[in-house]
Amino acid sequence: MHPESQQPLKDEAMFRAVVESAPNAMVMVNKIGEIVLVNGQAEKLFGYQRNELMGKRVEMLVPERFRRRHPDHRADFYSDPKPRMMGAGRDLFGIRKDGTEVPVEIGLNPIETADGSFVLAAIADITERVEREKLLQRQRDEILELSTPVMQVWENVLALPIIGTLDSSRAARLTENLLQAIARYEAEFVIIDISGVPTIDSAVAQNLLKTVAGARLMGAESIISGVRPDTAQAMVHLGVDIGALRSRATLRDALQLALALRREDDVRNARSRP
Amino acid sequence: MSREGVPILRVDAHLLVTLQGDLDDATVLRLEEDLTHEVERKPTRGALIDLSGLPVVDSFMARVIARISSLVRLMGVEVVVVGIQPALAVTMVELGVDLRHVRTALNAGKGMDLLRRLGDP
Repeated sequence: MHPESQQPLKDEAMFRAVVESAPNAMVMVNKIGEIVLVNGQAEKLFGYQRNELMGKRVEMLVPERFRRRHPDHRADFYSDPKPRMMGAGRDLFGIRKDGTEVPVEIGLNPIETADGSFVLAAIADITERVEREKLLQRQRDEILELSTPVMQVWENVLALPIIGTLDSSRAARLTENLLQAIARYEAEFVIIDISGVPTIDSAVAQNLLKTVAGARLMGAESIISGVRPDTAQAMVHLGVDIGALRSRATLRDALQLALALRREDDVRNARSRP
Repeated sequence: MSREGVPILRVDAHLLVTLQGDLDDATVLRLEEDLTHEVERKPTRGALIDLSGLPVVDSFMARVIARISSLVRLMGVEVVVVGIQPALAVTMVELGVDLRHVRTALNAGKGMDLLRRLGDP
């Protein structure tokens, strides 16, 4: 491309300087998909020398699995050329000279010159952002898993320390985990410790009672522990009917109660077995 | 109305009732009658009702189970419902069917232990 016949050299030199100094990788492509201009950032991102890219199909920078459809996408862009992001919400990848892939975000800009139509693609490497999002998602999953732990503290005795607010989605997950643990460990007693629950409102109390009812249907008796004075007041004030539900001030007291009840059952089992 | 009915198995002084598959209302009602007759026929101390083969328990069935339980308890027989699976327990709680006044145990073995303990003076 030698547009100096129509355009002053000064303009093109300035354009090249702007592209070269851009913080992102830049690749300019002509109408048939040939690379006509790249900057240093693009060389760095894809691991090619400039002369290895110039005049080649831009598809060489597209991973194999997306390559076949790319010319169609290119044609679509030329049919309605206006600046936009490539891929509209899909995850985009580029492929480097060494065959590794890199997650990218690509902005497309149509450029009209006397030599014809071109597309200038600004390519941002979003590896760090993707990694950060993955880490965040993993941490969210871990927190949710950690927030509903069920542990076997004694034979046939499970403990379920609840820390944080008990909304209905968490309560559902907690109940599910607990009931499965009851089946797995053949639990007969479940200690639900609520000392880590900041506030008990009527929704939380109802969720709690549902968990207790579910455990009971599977033959496990629940003991609530860690009821602080303000929590007790709130529950009574809310008119929460705890019925025959046993409650202890601390986890230690609750475990002691569970063990005593278990021992009692064992003794009577031994006596009544034929 | 199904002529099959729900089988009632007797082991000495204990009865084992296994509910399975889709039960129609008539069959559930007939169980109430059959069970009271069986209790009347021979000395009985306890009955296990096993729900492990049931995909769902609706409020009608839960009411009948609760009624059977208080009925035969008046005749001196303790009832223990066993074998409720986690998914069924969740559904029952959501339906507000919590068998509040019926004894429960995880499985038939634990249910038998409980029946023996209840019969132990």
